[in-house]
Amino acid sequence: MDEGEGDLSDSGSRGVFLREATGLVREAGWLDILIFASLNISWGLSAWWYFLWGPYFAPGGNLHLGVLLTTVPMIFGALAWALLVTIAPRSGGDYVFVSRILHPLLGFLSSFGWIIANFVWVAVLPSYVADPAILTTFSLTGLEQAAEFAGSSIGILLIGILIITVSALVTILGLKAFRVFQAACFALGVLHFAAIWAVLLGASRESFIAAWNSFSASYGSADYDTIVREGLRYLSETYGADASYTWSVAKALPLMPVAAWGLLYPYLAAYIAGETRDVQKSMIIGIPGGLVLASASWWITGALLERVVGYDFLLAVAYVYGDGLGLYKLPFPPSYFAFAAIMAPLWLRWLIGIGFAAWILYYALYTVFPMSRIFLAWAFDRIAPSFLADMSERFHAPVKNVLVTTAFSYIMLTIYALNPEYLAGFTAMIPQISTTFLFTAISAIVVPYRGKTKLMYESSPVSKLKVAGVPLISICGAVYAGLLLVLLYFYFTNPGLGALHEPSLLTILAAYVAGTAYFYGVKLYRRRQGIDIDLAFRELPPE
Amino acid sequence: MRLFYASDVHGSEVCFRKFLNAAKVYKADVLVLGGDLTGKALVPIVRSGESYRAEVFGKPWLARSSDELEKVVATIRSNGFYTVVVEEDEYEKLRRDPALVDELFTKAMVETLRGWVKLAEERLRGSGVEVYIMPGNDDRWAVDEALEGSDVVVNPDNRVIELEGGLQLASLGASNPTPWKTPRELTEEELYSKLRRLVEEAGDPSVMVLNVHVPPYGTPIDLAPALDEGFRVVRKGGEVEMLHAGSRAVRRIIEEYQPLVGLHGHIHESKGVAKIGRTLCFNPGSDYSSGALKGVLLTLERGRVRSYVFTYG
Repeated sequence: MDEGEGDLSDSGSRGVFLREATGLVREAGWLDILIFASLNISWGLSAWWYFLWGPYFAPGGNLHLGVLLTTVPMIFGALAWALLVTIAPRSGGDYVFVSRILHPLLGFLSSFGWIIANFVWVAVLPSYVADPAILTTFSLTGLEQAAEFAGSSIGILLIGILIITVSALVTILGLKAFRVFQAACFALGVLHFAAIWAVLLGASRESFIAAWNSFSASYGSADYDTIVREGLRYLSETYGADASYTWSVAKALPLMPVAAWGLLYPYLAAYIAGETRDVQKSMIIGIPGGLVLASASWWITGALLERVVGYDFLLAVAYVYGDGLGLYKLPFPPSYFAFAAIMAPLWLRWLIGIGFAAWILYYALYTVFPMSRIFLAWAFDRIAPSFLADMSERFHAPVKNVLVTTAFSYIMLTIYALNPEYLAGFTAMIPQISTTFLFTAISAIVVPYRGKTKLMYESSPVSKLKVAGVPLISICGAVYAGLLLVLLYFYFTNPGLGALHEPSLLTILAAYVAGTAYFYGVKLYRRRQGIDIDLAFRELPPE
Repeated sequence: MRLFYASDVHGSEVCFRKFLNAAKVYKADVLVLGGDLTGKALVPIVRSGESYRAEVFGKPWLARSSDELEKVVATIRSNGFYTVVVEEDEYEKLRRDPALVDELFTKAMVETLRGWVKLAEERLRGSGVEVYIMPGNDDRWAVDEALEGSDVVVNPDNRVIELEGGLQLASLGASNPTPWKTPRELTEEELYSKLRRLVEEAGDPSVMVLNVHVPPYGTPIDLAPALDEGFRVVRKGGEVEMLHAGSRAVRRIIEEYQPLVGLHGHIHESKGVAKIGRTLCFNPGSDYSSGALKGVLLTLERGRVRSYVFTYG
């Protein structure tokens, strides 16, 4: 047989006779998946991180090359997620396929790692709405006192509580409110970049220097030339770094762990695979598509920053600010959008600031929403209490589930607001990379060969995708695993990245031990109730 | 007693084979397949000399020998579609004659079900496993004959059957009216009347397993997308509008009689469990086109659902 290899999904076509019958309707399409992927990467927030800390951790490393080095292998990673959920199109993400392909405990720990990391993110990320988003916007629009409040511990706490509460309400109000909120954030976020690109396109190096010097002077901060001169001198004398800006791959490699902070995250839509129509097409377009769009937005922003702001300034200001040389006295951290905004009229500064906040505002929502899918999958498999799967009659949403998630989010936010050092954001990547992502990569590698899921693989259209006889999904998994190992190497060997923060790592380790104990405890408890939860993970052989 | 329930396999060969193997893998004493057994599509494979061509949803398939044809048929069948091998002129005739297509559909359904019953007999005869296979609203009345006369498979539709351990299985495959006007639809009043007769016959609610294809109305297990006259999904503000599509009669019967457990299918999207009074109602959902069999495994005792777990095999 040849030519064929069709995905025999439920849709009409010539050549097939259909009859009227009841059936499943899935609602999310490829565009929803693309927006999910784009927002979970957060073009804006991760671009801020990349253009501030990228030069800091990789002096002289070409910013475009750094994006490429991360994006290309990550496209394979994005495809690994897309293909895995095509094989098992069920909501619940990595938990579903890792538990079936590798082992139920690994599936549980994979989603457990995701939850731990996201409870850190849900505390850390809304605080970025306070600082730098609101802090920068208010400072640039002359609202100094409000800016100062937004950057204080109490300001961060209150803004975080507000965001988490709104996110919980939106989730409870249902998918419609979720989509409106999501679309509004995405639209504002895209406008943010359009405004920045327009400002930078109309500016020159000279106009930026003039704007910078004028704005800095009002805060007694150093001028452009001083920052460049002193920053580069400090870099050379203190670190002995060769800061010449070249296309050297070796110099650009350390940009990868910084770029990965955003580009590693297009996978989120995998958690709603069970609610997606034409899963293969939607996921294969949507997940890598969101990644490529994010990379393109960084590429354009980077090119414009290099032309207008200059790489030397980006590098120098990162050190002047990062190492506290006393020359940078602005009330907000350096950012690509502040560089553009100081050249913009007042109304555009508001748009740029609000647009940046929009790239973070939905994040708490993105934590609550997939977590409800994980809890549902756990509850159906009898690992979590049944009430977590309860759907409210009134709201058609898992209200109890959302309330539990929200309560945890408040606790984590309070811990972060009172002691920001305790929950280091980069440390949150360690459990995600070493469990959620790595287990996913390994699942993708072995799924065509594992006896228990071989049949599911062979009966899916993914089995037809091969390169030189090797299953495409295995190739994607292998490249993805390689990328993750490279990133883990950077995170574990460069303490400056902040991933090796001891209290965070110990907390995470303790959480894993507790998670493993919980899994086996539940298994024992259910067995006493007469339930063998292993049955939920067992694939039935047809023969 | 351990009971495995699945529903809505819609002609999927692979799902049915998995259903039979659930007895061994899940150590189930009773297997119940709760309706909508038959497929929705018939794929004509056109013979041209020694080769065979088919087109499934815009994608061409070609088999150059009978061995290859067997593989193509197996792949198409695993998705729940029926196949028919025809010459070019026969295919053209089918395109012009819906009645002929209808006849072929019925023939394929009946033949497939006969094959399934035979397979169940081969695999489960002498195992002690009770096998109940019930047609649902989508299944034509003609398929009932294929489920008759077996010493292994029993069609429990519209009957009360005593299960192992003294439990009573009261079954009904018909549904309330759907937009598709499927073969086995009844008004809510008719449904109530039939169900009432069944539950009265079954007697003690604490041992009653109510196997009714359509789920009870107004629960988390009966939510389906709203459809317009052209069967298109209704969207409001970009959002799919969901509505309760279950049966009010089924809900009323459960509220009034409080059986031990309710087993339901019909709405593929609404996997879950709902509690109506003391009765736990299950809908494992369906994902038959992916070849995965969704089900629920229950351990039942007199007056008690000792445990349950949803499966995705």
